[in-house]
Amino acid sequence: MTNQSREDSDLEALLARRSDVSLAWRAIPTDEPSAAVDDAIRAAARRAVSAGPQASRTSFAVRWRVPLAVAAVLVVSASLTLLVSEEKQHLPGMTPQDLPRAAAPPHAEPDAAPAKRDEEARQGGSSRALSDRALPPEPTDKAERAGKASGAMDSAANKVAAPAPEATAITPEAAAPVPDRPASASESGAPARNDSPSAATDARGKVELKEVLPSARELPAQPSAQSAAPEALAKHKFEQEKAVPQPQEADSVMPAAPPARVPPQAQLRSRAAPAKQSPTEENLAPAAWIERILDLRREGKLKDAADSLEAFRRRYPDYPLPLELSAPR
Amino acid sequence: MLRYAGGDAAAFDDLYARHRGGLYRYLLRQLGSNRALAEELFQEIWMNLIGARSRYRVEAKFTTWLYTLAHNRVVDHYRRNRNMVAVSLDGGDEDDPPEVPAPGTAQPERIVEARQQAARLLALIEGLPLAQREAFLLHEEGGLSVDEIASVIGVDREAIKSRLRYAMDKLRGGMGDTL
Repeated sequence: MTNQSREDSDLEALLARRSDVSLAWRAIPTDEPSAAVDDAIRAAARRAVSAGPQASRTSFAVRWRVPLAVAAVLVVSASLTLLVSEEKQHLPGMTPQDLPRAAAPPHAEPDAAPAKRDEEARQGGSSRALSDRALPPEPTDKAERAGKASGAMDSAANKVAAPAPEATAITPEAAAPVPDRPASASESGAPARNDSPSAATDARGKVELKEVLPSARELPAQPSAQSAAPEALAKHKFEQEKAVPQPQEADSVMPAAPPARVPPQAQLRSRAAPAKQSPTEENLAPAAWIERILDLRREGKLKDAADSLEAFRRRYPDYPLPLELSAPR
Repeated sequence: MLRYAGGDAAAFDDLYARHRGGLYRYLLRQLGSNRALAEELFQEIWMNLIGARSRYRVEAKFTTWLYTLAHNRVVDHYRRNRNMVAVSLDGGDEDDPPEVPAPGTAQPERIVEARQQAARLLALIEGLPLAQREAFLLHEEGGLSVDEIASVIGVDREAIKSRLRYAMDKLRGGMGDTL
């Protein structure tokens, strides 16, 4: 056996732990670490395991810090966006898209036809078509002009920011854009007073268009008028009944009932000028007032009827009169 | 070790019981039978292992990882105390003559033949160059193969085989006819 081969066999014996050196080494009494060292190491191992969950909690907080922050930012942003959008709906400066919804009367919502008519009127001065639908056709040039003017005003009203209905009832200045719509005929060149039957018809057509506007802008005296003169109110609210079905209302006599609504300009005028009439007439609703004038005429008190009619015209210059009153005597 | 890293404290007890003796003796023989120093390093190594349990990856045997920690700790110790040992840890002194004491000079009083033989072998081990001694101890105490020893020390396997051969020759020559 060569020296190299002997070394290789000795190495193999050593690696196999069969060599005499390995046997002699294992015969040496074994040394062990002290019990104190063992206890210290085992205690440290247990402490580390028990402290493990705390470390994992810390790492959880660190791991989720950024996602939680991002989520919080998103939630706050969404909340602010919703809040701002809701606030915008209540602001006076609404967008044109918001106007139809804001201008639509609450009582017209159940019936789609008035709202559709209102929309048509806004889109292109189609008040004449509306009048034709509601009234016997009696078209005149003046009515056409008024209708076109009304359509133009309605279109302009779409462009102007619409205030809230509550504001229009309180302050005429703030209510300027929307209350102009009922008075659009007079302010856009149409006759302010109904001097002729055709003009009255025209005005009635306009009134019918106005009927789809919010009832919140109507005169506060309307309920009292209803209680005071139900028959007259039924006559004058014929078109209103057509727009909003009210089964308890009786059938109408008047072809076109003007709304018991006073434009803010008229309200201002009536507040500025002291009333010459009796307080009872001033307190009457327009429909009841007209009925009273008609009663005076029937009773032969033409002078009183004329005075009362003049006062009525001052009080409600845009209010459409019945044919028998609008015709000059 | 994976069970212990997952929070099983009992797994550590099993692990410790399995490796405590071999690791301690490896350190004790590497440190010149200095028990206090061996226990100090022994404790440090286990503490390091406990602290590094979450970073443990199954890339090799646990024994290899444990003795790698021990080897690095011994190297650090000798680098800090260069005056304590004059030999290189990486070996290369295979050609140096082993300073094995002659038979009969290390233990003058031979009372029991077995105790004399053990003492002589220990003296021979302590007289081995550090690289040869480490390879021998890693094999005998740690039960590592040539490849595993090479992995722990960071040298190729042929160098480990060479060191083991030199160590065998010196030990066998030092023991004489007592083996």
